[in-house]
Amino acid sequence: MKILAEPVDAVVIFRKGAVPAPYKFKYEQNGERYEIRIDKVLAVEKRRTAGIASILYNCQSVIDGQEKRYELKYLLADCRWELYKI
Amino acid sequence: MGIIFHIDANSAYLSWTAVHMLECGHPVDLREVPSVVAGDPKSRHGIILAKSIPAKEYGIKTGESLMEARGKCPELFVAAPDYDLYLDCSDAMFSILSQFSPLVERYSVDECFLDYTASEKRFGNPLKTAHRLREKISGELGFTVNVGISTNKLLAKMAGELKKPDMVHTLWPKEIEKKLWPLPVRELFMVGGATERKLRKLNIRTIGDLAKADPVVLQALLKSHGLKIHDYANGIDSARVLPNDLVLQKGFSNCVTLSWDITDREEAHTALLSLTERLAMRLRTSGKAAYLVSISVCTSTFFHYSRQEKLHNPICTTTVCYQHFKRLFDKTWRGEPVRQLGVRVSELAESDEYQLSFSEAESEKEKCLERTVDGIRKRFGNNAVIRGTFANSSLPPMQGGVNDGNYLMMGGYRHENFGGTG
Repeated sequence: MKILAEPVDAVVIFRKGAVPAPYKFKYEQNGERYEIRIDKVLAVEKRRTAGIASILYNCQSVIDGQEKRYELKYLLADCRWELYKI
Repeated sequence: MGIIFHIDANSAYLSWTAVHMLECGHPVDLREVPSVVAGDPKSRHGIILAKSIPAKEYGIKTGESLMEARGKCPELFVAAPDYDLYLDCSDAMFSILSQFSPLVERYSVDECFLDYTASEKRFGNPLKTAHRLREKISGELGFTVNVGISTNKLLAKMAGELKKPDMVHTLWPKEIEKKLWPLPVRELFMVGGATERKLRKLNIRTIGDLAKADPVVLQALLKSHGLKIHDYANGIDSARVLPNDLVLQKGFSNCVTLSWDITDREEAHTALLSLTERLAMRLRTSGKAAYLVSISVCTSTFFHYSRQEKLHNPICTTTVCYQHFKRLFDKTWRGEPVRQLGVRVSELAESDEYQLSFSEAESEKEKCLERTVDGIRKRFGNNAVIRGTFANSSLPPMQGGVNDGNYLMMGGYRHENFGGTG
């Protein structure tokens, strides 16, 4: 996986008493737009690297007929989602 | 006997920038290549703020100009400072330290003192805890720190400086002779270039020499400072670890390197006013008034001079502070191009408790007006109300400070900045 740190549009489910769970997100690569539904969240990690609070989601989805692993990041202070690694 | 930790982030600005850039997908770790954090040379702020260890090997020093540094290492990587990031890193480090002791003093943006005396019962051996602390910071926050352990603040700080990076050192009083005394005297806290030169005349070259020197001779040479550094060389320091709200502020200052040399008196006055705006606002926020005003000037040929004056009545309003600074500047300035201007107030008193005088410098009306302006600026941003002078001026209405002044190096508090850009 390569670090992209690309801001993305995301639809997220906020459940009471749980960390927000990403449902789907949109991103653009090589001029092509992808809309990806998150099939599985494999791991969630709270991080504070460089003092910046974030939640890192290790996810899995079928993209172009292929099962792929990638990481989504939620930046708490900015309330922003990033496609962190793919 | 107490146990004090000194925690110091290794090349703070640089490693914080490096961690952040890695996190954003930058392919190279700045800490492993010759790199520096420096201001923008276009606005004449191009001095080295921090350097990596490989950059140090090229002879690059903190404080020199970017041009000099590029001369020493042409492939130098230059990153711009990001003060919001630094404050986040500093806050995060402080919050981890607070998990180990209720008594943590933020000595500067990248240094803290931690009083471990009462925590020993809970966390055990100080050396083991220091390693745990170091690993926790590097694991969670991504940057390395040095931890110095001793019985007082001075020795803990000296221990932290012994060998870098990512180390834990002890400097217990019994180890002073072996670990502290062989070091050059310049390494001692509070000994700078000028003191070092004076001490060399007495043939004092190492901290050990200073520790064994006659305090009477040192006092004759350096006044009370001589006794202080003699104590320090012997590892004597009685300062306690104080939470930051109890640290007494002794003065306020504000200074700016101008983007161009000022040669016109009126323009210099406007620059002084923009410095005073921020300074006086900080003075009033702290609820203090000042008895001493001073200005400093640096000319285009890097010649420095300063003047100060003691006042009969304490002052806190921008208008009156500005009048004093202007008068001092007119008294001193000899017409040479000005590169840097600084203003300072000290000898503080509570702004509402002072001796009344017939020749009151500031009227109640003026104070009330400025309090109102402060309130508006706090709520709507610093540019919500500006003085008419700045309406068509190329100088900003408020100058000085890093990160538009919304940032305090020495712990303290953070201003909320709404909407406004200043």
